[in-house]
Amino acid sequence: MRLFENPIFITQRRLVHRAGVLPLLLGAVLIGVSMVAALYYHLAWDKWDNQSWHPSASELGHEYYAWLLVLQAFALVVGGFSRISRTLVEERKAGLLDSNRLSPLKSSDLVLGYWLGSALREFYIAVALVPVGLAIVLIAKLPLELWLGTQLLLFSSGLFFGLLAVLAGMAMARAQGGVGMVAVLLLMVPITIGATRFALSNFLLPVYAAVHMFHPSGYNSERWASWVGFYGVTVPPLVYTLVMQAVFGCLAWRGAVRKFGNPNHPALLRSEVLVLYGLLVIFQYGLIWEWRHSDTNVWHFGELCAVHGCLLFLGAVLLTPQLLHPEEGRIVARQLGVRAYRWVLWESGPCTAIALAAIACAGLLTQYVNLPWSLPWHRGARYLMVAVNAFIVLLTFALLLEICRLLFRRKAIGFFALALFVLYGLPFLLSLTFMSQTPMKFSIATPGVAAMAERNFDDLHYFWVATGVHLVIVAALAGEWASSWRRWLGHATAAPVA
Amino acid sequence: MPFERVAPIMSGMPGPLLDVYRLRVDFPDVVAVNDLSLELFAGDVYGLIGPNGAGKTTTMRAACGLQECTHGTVKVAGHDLASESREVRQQLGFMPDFSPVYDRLTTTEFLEHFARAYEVPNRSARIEECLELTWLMEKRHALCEGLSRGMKQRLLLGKTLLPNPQVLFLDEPASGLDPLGRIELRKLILSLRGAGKAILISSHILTEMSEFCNKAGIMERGKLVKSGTIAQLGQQVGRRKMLVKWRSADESVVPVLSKTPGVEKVEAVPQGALFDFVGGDEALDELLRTLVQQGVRITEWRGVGDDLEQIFLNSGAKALM
Repeated sequence: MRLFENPIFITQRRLVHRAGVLPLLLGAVLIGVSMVAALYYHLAWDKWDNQSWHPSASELGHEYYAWLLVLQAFALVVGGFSRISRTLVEERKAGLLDSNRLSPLKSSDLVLGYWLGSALREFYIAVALVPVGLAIVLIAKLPLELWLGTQLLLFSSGLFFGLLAVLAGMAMARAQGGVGMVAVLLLMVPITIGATRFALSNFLLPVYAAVHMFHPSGYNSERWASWVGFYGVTVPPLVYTLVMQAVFGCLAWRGAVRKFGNPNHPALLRSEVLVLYGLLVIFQYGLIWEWRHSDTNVWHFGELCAVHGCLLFLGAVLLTPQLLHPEEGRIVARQLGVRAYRWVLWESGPCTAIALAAIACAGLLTQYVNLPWSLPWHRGARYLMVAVNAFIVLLTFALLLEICRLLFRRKAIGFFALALFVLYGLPFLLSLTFMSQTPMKFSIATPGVAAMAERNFDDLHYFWVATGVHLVIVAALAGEWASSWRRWLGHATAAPVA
Repeated sequence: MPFERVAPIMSGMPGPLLDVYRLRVDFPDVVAVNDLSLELFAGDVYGLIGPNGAGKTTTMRAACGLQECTHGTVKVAGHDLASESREVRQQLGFMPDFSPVYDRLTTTEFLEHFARAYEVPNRSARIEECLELTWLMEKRHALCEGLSRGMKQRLLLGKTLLPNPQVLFLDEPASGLDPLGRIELRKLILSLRGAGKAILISSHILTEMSEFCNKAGIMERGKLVKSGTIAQLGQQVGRRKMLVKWRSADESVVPVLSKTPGVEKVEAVPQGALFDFVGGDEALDELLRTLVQQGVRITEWRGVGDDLEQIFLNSGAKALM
């Protein structure tokens, strides 16, 4: 179905136009024209004024154009995300989404309509500012590539985050303003500034490519000036960003279509989650490839810990919707009878956790080959400890959450948070209390971090003991998990109806 | 009123238009629908009755694919919901018990939205027909937010009829309608029934349902405890209303009838009597035989349309309310 025949798009466009577009559009144009006038005034004033220092036309142009881009991004990316997700939540609650889902429209048509139709007002504002940007670029004699490239990035990001908004709108219980997204963006500012071309997030949000096109000068400018290194191959940041957004956008599209088909199911199949995680790991380790392979004398301990930790955190985030709810198990028990237990073993979270941990470890391996300052045995031992720790982290997460759901039902989250605190935070608290380093070595997070950092290989045996303890904990959790599921399924198949 | 404009059913559809087989829906802590099976043929209007929380709405939502079911199959006009959901959605109209409308669209625009979604041919003409059918012609340029609840309900009915579906699910269609609206709704449903649609309808106004349902089912705690034609239901609950007429003005029959075991609420009518009978078919045959043996010259002996409300109350479901 073509976009302009899509009833969802037509209706959303009608609703946007009926609510009024012109005042906002005129406001945006007014701001833009003011910016152009101000720039023109500054440049003209510069010629007449005899003061010793003035910013150059190029510097002023960059500054004005950067502010314009911020405005456009705020309208299109933040505003668009908020609008699309809110529209979906509201229509879902009102029952309109069900009415639309009951029509013979394909799920892809529904996604397309909401994706491109709900945030038209924000799109119009961003489009109205495009010629303003061109005017700034021409007046300040900036290269046209800057305007073309940044506008391309802006609209590709608008589309990418629009798709994420569709997913968010199908998953969120309540309508959200853009506040949550702004908070996330603010939290990411330190990562953005600190990590430059080494952080994946700087390419999903097109920060690196956009800043790179401004050809920054001054302190730390060289960190933003180079092309992206991807497993040793240098790629233009603009291309890398667009490819990343396209690849992850395809997965987001599949998730959104599946979510419209059945809102009760996870957006992604297990295989898609593994592909998504694999891509995240491949792209991320591709970016930091040079740490180990062109910068061999420096061991980026802190940065590598941060990358590995963030990837494990992302793994846990992707794992959560894949975990099996007790209700799903009960339904399957009704469908499959005694075979349900085998199904649960295969389909539940721990299996996915093992696969995700394996992917994370495979990515990490790229940083452990060719270490110049250690023997292969030491290198292997250190890597093995980090790898085992990654399995322990994701497995405890999956096992604990499923056990808590099975045992405590609606109170599961509280007990789950408590268990995580005991396993991760409490050892550090005890270390602080008793002024001893020994307890903190038994936190689940410690051996992985220590094995990455530790240069004195003789000390590693402490952490092997801790890892052994953690493995015992995982085994105990796995035993409890298996018996909890068995009890639950037994109860589900035997329980009298209603 | 253009009821005759409802398009006639496509011919050559020998099987049931709606075939629900062993449908089961599990909610946390409760089985919302438990092994429910029913068949609706062309021209059937099936009243789903039961107390609140019995599972009527969930049954409808599961049968149209909005609610995931644990097991069971649903076929609409021969198409399986699981494997041919698009074809099922073409043939199925669902009107929920609330009114989801786009407040900022006019009634015509609202119907146009769904006419496009269902790819309805001759869109404008069909929209006008539906507005006429649902008595909203005067409001065709009004915004939905300005409509009363009853009008929104009618608009939703119009939206449901728009693609001319073969099977209709109407969940509490009369809620919010004024008395005139209810009369018109009854006429419309009878007209749809005449046009060969299969209609599954739930309502709390059982007396009205009696007037247009030819079949009914009583749901209790997710289970369809009784199902069949209205007369069969009356038998299933062990009570049926009978009419007997005889040739001459014989007033002695009524006292005889009143004293017969199983006969209740005898009401004299010209040359006959109406009475409730509690018992099986054999007992009823026995009563007829007794009357004939006593010399009553019977000219008419039949069950009369049972009152759904009475059937519902007799079924014991009241205790659950």
